[in-house]
Amino acid sequence: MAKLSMYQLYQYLPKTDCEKCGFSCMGFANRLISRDIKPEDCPFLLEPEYSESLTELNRLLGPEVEKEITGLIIDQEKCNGCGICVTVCEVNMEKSREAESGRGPGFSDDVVLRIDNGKIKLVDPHSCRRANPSSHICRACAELCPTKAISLV
Amino acid sequence: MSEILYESVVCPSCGCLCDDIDVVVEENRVKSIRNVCEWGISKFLFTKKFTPNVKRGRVEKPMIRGKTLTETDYETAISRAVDILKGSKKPLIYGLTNSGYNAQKIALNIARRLKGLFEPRGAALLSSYYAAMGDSNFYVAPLEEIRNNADLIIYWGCNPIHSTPRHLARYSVYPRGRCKERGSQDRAVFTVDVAENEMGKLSRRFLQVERGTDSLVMETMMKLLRGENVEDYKGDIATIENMVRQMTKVSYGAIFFGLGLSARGNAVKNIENLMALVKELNGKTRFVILPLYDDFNTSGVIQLLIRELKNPMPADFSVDHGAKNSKYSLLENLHEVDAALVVGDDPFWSLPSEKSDLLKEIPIVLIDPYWTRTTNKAQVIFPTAVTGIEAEGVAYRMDGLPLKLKKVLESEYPSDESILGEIYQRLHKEFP
Amino acid sequence: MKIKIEGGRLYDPGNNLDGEERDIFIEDGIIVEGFSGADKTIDASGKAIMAGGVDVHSHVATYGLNLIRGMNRFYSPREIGHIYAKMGYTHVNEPFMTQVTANYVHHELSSIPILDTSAFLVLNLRDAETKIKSAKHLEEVEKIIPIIIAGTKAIGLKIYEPFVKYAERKYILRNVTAKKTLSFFSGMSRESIPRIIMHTSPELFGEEIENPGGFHFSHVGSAINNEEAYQKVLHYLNAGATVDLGLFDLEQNLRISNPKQTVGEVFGRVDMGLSEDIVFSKGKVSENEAPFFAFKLALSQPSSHISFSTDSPANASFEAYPKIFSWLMKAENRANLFDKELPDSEYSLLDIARITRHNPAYILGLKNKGHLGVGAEADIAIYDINEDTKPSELEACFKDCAWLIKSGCIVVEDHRIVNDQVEKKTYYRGVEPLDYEPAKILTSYSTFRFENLMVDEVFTAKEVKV
Repeated sequence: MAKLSMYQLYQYLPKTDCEKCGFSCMGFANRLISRDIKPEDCPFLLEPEYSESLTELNRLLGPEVEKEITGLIIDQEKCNGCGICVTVCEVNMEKSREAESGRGPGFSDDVVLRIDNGKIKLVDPHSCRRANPSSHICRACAELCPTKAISLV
Repeated sequence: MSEILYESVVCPSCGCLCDDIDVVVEENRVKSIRNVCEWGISKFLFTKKFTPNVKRGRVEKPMIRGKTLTETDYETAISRAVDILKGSKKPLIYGLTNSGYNAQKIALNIARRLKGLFEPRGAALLSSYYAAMGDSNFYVAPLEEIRNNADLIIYWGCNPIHSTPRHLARYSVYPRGRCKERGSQDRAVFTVDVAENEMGKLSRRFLQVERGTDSLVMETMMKLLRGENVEDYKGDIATIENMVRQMTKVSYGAIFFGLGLSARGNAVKNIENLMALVKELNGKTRFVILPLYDDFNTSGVIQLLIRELKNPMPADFSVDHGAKNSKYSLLENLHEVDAALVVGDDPFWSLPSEKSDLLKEIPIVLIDPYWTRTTNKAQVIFPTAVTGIEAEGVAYRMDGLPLKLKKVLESEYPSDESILGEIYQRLHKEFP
Repeated sequence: MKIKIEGGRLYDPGNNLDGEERDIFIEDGIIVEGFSGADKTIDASGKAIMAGGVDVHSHVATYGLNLIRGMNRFYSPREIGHIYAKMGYTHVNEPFMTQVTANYVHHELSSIPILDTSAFLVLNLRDAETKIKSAKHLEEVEKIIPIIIAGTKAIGLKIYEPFVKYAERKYILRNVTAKKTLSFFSGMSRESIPRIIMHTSPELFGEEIENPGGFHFSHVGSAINNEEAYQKVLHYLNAGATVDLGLFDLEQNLRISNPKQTVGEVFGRVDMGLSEDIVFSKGKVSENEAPFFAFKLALSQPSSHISFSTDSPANASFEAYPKIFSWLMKAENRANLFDKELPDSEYSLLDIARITRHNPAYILGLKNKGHLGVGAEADIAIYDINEDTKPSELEACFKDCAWLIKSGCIVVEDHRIVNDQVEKKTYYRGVEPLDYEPAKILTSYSTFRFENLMVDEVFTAKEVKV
């Protein structure tokens, strides 16, 4: 994935430089990239007319968060939704009895990885074993992915 | 705008019939969907297989071909279809592997009434599997038991990653089972195929065979099991020897085979040998064998044929002993057929051209939700609801266990079951 | 439609009718007190009338049978319905339905025309292995089992293997002995499950059962191969147990058994998740004395709680029932069956009605079946049997009933099947209120989600809760 640029994010900001967040809009964009701040910290973005911008910003920033916390890089193009990673993920297994026996996690089960709309999604990067420095380095999902849709940094 | 959540929906895509699909519907459209694979989502979004961004064209109105294809209503289309079928001496009823069990049953009754031929798609491979049981016995298990016990999984002539994407994660290699608590660490995978593919990465042994030599490989394996001489085999004998050694060592093996065995040369010979190999293996350890169906209700149509006719072969009602037909496929008689009723299939795409050329000459009645190559040739076209998404039904999983297909979307189109039912009623009235 | 049956002799142990001549009135599918102006009157004078037969144990829809059918070695559903109807039967109970195959079994049963159906749920004890080890879980299991029976639309609980046994050494701690299992189920209260059905095997008779009164032993004939086992069955019967007989016709039959008990030609095997595969084979039981003891038990009629069965198709196919009835009824018909001497008692028509109607209906809990009283389902079989019927004609008379009425509709008229599209019902044991939650622990090793394991009405005929 290409590196995010400040200008790219700036496109989605209100460009009013109101400084309610404490920065100019360009400064806000800069801090978004360094993850010191979240898009929701801008009061304008929370308003309905900017909802699309907010979604887009979160989409652009999202995967980077995953990558930063867990070191997982997911290539949705390659994923065929086979769900092997969902079944082999040890945290999924602890959180959902369904996932353990090969069934998809229940709708309300709170898991790390799930197949959403036919593609793999890291829904809770913070619970991933890799996000927790004290536990061992787990590579199961990436190692067992048959289509190489998951790789590690 | 209200969202409706349908939990545990059964996916009508392949023979896996995954029953853990959670669908959120908003304004009669699928908004989001969980646990479904890339193949399944194309089905729910009405898009092309593996390309969920490209919509498939739905047939919108019933069509009749005069000089050109023109829109009409169901009533007129049914009259025309009934006329075509009634006027036929030997109609072919074809397809049906993507229909619910009840629709298949009505189609079989239509064939019986018209003294026609009834052939499900891909019959050659399937009938030879069931027929080979006569010589080599059957060794089957519900997929639960394979998942609970199997320590060796063999995929022969199929690539589950493409044809049945969730098979590996749900039923065979990766899930933990009652006696296989570490999942894939407790199991090994062997793959036999003509070309290197994704399965190579996750298989302990990948045996690449030359096109058309599958049955020879099976024979060689049987010879090795019996301790006979295999010097005349020219291929990769080292891998085969190694595989056979491990096959006899495991406590519970499962073999899944796919359409690859019918695409390469002689399906009947391949299956007969594979079943004989499984029988041989069962003398030493425990093995089960199941076919890997690409279509979601292929298993259902075979169950139906056996229940109704006590015979897994395609049915030929044009002769008096229709139920006892012993041909694996009736398509070799295609030149005798003078009309066809095609349900949920695209023979101009799926059949080899020497067969489909024969279909060009005869009137075709087509029941299908989408535009296909066959719609370009058909005389009458009925658009339908998609079974399992817009219409309820019953489908059989690859291990022969049935599931109820749910309806998650409303549709303006009738189900294939109701169109077939209407045609049957009309034929019944006019030929009491 | 209002039907009146005139002049027949009624055989119905439930209403103490032993050949009394009485008219029967049928309205809306039910036997009623009487009415005037029948739409149809059947003259049954000189004929014997019984309730429709209830088969308590016949494998007609076991998972795997369809593959045997594909080899043309078993009847089609249509043939099953027609043969049973011609024999005067209106209900068949499938004895082997696991949780996973429940949808399958019900779908298969609903494809059999004419007959009402029900099925026993075979619980895989591995799913409950941690529970059945100690009586402290008794209350929990008592709660779960009725739910799972209701969910799978079963009519009773059957224990096929009264133990848990793993082949792998590493799971030795999971094993549960037969002694423990039997003691656990003996302690179960009769309120939650009126009667637990036991698959009978020679090994079972080697075990001691504390409280046999709560059990029904199925096809005991298959397992009694010595005097000791015979005495044990008598002891169980005295203690209030019920049995079905498991009689033999001494022909080559399709057998559904564990690998040790296969006979003759093997057709294939199915892994149902039990400790051993289920094997389909065809052959004749000739090595042991079980057939002799089975008939000895039947003819000595030690208790009024015995039902007819042949473990069809294993000991005898259901098609052979009429022949076996004729053996039971007349000593001369069975003269050359065995070298050893059988008791010379003979069954009356009332006895036949008891073992083929009254008792099976009682075991299945079907209150409106198996008898001819007012309020009963109008399932009625009329046979051309009277005091003039010669012993050699009995078999043919039972094979080919004169009339059969099912739910008030005429199915067989003057020995011909005139209508096989009558309403079919699926009988099951329900529970109120139905809360599935506690039962989910039994399905953790299924590939299906729980809700898809529970049988939907698309798979059954019209559902009737008993």
